[in-house]
Amino acid sequence: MELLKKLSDASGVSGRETIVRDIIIEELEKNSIEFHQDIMGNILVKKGNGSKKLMISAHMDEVGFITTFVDKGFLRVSNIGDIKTESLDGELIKINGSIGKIVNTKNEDDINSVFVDMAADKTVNINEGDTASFIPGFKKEKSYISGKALVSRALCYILLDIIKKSAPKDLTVYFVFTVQNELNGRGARAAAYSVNPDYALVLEGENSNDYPGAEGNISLNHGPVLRIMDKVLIMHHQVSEIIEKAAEKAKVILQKTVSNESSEGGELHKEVSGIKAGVLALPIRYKHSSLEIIGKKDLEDLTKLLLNIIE
Amino acid sequence: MLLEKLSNAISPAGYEGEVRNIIIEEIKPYVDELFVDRMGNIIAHKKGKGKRVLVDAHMDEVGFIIIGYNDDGTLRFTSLGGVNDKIPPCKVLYVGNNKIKGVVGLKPIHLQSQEDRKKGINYEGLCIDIGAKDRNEAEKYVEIGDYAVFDTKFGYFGENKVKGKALDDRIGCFILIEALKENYSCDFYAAFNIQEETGRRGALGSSFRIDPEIGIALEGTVCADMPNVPEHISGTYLGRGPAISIMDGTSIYDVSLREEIEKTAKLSNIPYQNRRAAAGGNDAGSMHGVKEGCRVAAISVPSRYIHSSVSVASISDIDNGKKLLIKFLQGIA
Amino acid sequence: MEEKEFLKKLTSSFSPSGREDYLYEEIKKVFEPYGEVSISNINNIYVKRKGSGKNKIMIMAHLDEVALIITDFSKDGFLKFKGIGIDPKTLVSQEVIINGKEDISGVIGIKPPHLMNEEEKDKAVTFQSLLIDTGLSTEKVKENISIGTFAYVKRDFTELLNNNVACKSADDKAGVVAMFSCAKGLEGKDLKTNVYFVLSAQEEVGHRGAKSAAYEINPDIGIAIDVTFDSGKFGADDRENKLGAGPSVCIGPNCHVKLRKMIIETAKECNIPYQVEVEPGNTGTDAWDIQIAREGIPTLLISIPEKYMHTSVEVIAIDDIKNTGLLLAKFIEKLDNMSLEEVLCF
Repeated sequence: MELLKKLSDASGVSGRETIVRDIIIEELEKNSIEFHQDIMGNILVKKGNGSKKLMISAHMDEVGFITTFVDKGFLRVSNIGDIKTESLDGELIKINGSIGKIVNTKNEDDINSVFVDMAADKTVNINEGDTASFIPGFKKEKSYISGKALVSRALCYILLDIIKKSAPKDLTVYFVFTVQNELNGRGARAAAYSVNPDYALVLEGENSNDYPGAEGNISLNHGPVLRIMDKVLIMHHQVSEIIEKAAEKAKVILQKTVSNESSEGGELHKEVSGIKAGVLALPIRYKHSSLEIIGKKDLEDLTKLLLNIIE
Repeated sequence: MLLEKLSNAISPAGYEGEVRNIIIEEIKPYVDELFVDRMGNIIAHKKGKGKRVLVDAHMDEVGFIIIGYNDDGTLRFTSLGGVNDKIPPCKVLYVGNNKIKGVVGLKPIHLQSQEDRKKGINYEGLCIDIGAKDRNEAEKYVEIGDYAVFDTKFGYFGENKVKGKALDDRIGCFILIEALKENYSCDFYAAFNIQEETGRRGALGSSFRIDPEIGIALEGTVCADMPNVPEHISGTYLGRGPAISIMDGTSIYDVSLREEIEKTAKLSNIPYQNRRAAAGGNDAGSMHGVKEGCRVAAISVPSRYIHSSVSVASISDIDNGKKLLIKFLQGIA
Repeated sequence: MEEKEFLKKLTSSFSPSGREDYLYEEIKKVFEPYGEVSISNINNIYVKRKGSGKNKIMIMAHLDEVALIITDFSKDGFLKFKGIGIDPKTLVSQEVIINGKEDISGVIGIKPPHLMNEEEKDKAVTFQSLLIDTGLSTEKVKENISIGTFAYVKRDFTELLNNNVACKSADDKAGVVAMFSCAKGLEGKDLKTNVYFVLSAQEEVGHRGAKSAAYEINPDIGIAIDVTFDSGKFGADDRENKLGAGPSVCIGPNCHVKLRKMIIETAKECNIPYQVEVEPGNTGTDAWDIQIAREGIPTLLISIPEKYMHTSVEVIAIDDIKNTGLLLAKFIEKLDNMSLEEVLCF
């Protein structure tokens, strides 16, 4: 859990994943696991020696902001990835070690009406092009974990876990920590081109609807989500068969959904001669907000399921 | 199967011929008198010494009528009987006596603006496409005033249900036909009326002629028990038995008749429910609206999606509706 | 087999985006006499007609159709669903078939108008307001159907006047039939060109199959066949396509200028009726992704005019389908006798 806290609290928006990548590399090196960093910044770990290739990806980046204009103590920003601009007013962000407050004067979906107040006379440390993420806030309860960026970091945490625990036999597994997921899955596409796997599992977060006023059928601690299709990828029928069989064996209950969301599977599955791909998701409340919530049991179940799939 | 034959037959308001012929063939052997009046209503009589009772069902179904041609060979049309304008798009229709096939198309979603997508539809914006090259060719195949009906085929559906077009009121016709096969002490008149859907008009003439003491309308009635409709406006439920009307737009039903029908149902162990809607109307309105009037009741079989291209009804509701009517009539002295 | 018969067969079967493999056996039987049939990772189907030389021409029509998908269970056997590329206004009062473990019949109905408020009466229905009625209990339904099960509108192939037909999924099974027509037209001819007929996957959800198919085959020329809007009352008013007037050749940046001029010449030489339409940018078809595969592929788009696209009553002219196939066959023969280098160089 210490590792997950470290990952969640670290700052790493799309294109600026360095700190997060370093934490992951440190963990891999600590466990004497070989890895390769490609030109986009993805980290690839290869295990096993089978003729069939399976790629499992989890993304390192989080949504955030990039500074476009500095005006003494105030910053103008642009968003990196999908963020609900209307609900940003009052949120706190961290940029270059300092904390600033977002103000949305019009409460509209217009990033140009947003500015960041750094509560400083001159903003010394900050330049155009510097990136900001929501402030860290990791908290662990009995059944829930909350914090920023869990949609990526919890999945990286799971990926690290199964890298350590798995022992693929007739299968070559590529575990890929991807960059720029929040910008249309650019890292994943490049990794898919070089790996050219037979099957690809994309790990994602799926918005859960188990709070007042929400509509839908996904809840926390009710099992990993098999995404039948989303805006950019229809799960290949062979992949869903593999997942369902493994779920039965591992005695993990799946939730199923036809999702309105996006994923890095979109660009990935159209690469090379086409890749049989699908999205397996962790239920998550308030995805891409300053504080996300996941279920502990889901973390365990998804890990169990993935290990079973690999076998 | 009789209900299947009735449902598949083509008889929109004003053009009831096909159903009329089917009914005459079915009931001939069971009645003392049988004739067709000048409007086209069938009037059947089983003589009896008791009260004069008129039971009615209407033969017509909702459909469409051709009102003109477009230069591109498509047909302009409008509703014949109440078909809501959300219903016609993307249906296959049979047009006229020669059953010319046509489709009602819609502008592809790609060509609709955001506003178009949210806007409703109206008949002026629709047309029937029979594949004709131009107006001249269309005129060779279809005449102005030709009717058009849905191509829906009757069939079994789900568990213990049927689906088909015109369940309103072929179910009523079916129940009335079956009732004529039994015997009663009352003076029993059955009227299979025309043009109910365009204003309950056939029933005016037949009720005037028969002048009953008791009038019972048989219908396929509104049933909106779908999960996305608030329960209090659903009207009736599918599968809970025939619905006995309380009030609708054309009648407020006789309390003692209602109570007797309920009593009959309870004694004979026939499930029943109330028709909880106060809207809609049926031939009973015409029955008490001529001469000195009469006491009226209505027994209906719940049909989901009436006045559309395909309705759904419960087989046990139809069966129980038949049983209830027969038992009730047999109890009238 | 005649074109109308093949179209009837294809449109009476079901191949939602992602499950084009449902029709693989059927397609194999039909196309086997014309080439080697295989299926790719993401269900693109390839028919390879070998030639004696090295040049490759790829013809592509998509096999997937727009469909409905079950998203959740409601009470009493009713199902929540949504459509991909489908206008909910087209679904009111329709019979559907749900493609579960067994085929289950369903009905999409709406509440009667006297139970609607003013707003509901005037506005269009949305997917949120529609449900599929199965007439079964929810337990019974769950035995056969799960979230993600597909469904489609039950529609009999209907013949209209002038050899026009109305059916579902003429987009783009008419294109597949045109390809078949082209294959028949080339039968017995000795060609140097290798012709690849591709029945692509997932066009309706973003022409996703086209990219990897073009990558895998790596042709010298790619020709996409799709359907296009007519210009009638319910069509597009920015073009002049008429049903029965022949295939419509696309003019625009997605289409190679020289090739496009050549195919029009071919039509004129062989007396094949044709039309033209302009697309200034993204054609919204497989052609868009074919053009930028690998190092770039000279591409053409030939479209069959159709009325009421993406509804269950798409109307199309059988003669247009046949003429599309004929035009392609003649064009391939013409190119076979030329040096591709000359044709494609700038």
